[in-house]
Amino acid sequence: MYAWLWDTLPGPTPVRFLLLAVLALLILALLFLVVFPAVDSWLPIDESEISSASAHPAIHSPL
Amino acid sequence: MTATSEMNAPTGPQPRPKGRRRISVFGVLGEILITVGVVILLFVAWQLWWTDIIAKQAYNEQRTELQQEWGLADDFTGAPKPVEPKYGEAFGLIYIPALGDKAWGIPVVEGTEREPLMKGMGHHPGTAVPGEVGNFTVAGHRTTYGAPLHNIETLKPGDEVIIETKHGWYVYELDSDEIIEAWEGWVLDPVPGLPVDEKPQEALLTLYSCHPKFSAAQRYVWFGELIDEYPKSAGTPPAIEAREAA
Repeated sequence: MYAWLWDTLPGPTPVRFLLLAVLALLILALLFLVVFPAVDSWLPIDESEISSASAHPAIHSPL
Repeated sequence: MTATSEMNAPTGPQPRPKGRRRISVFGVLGEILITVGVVILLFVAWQLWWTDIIAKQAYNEQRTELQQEWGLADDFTGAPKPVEPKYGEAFGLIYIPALGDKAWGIPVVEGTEREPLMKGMGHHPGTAVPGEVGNFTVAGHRTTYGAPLHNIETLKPGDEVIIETKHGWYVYELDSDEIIEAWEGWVLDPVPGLPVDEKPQEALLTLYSCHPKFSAAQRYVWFGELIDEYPKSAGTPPAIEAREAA
């Protein structure tokens, strides 16, 4: 997979390194700004709205 | 003829070690597994580090907004009016001197779900507002999004929790703590520990966060009561003044 990526990238070695770094940064940004916030909102740990059986109000989970 | 075929021989039938590599299923699988592992580690880093940065920015924005709004009410001299919170909006600032910078001037936002808690600490809708007779209930994050209550377990009876609203200061004093299960909603009752329809006589406080750290299995809860309240024109609580001056 990564070997294939390396072979596919054009240019001499330094150019490939640069391209890889840019690619990695882009993926990191995508993860931090889009994917992780979305995943976080699906996780039950941050917003487990647990209704108690009685007349008491629900208590949320501030992780 | 023979010379050329001999020269071609090494490159012909033998697989070339460089250039085109052979793709092995296990090799790719291994790379995928390593990648997944790295992404999971990145997610943990995001939760513990990035959300902290984001939350602190959000806290600062909310605080500046509130203080600008409040600036117009500087000349207010009457008794502090109870706030009328709107869901998702900040209506006050909370100061817990014993917790230091982490819990200093954190916006108090209406609501305890995910969204409000990204902007500050959350007031449980339906419970008393600051200074009101009943139970003023506030939740804060323990390990993510600024984690204002990271060190909630270090609080002691007698420690103060101070709320600033547009017109007033409300000083609550903590008196007992308890670790409860996540479903134990009784801590939000008008008088925690008594039947839910019990008529409250005093202004109480419930402060809670997740427990243990890095988990949401239980809740760490502090109970307290109002010991002082006064309009802003009457001055600043000593605990606030001391820290701001330092």
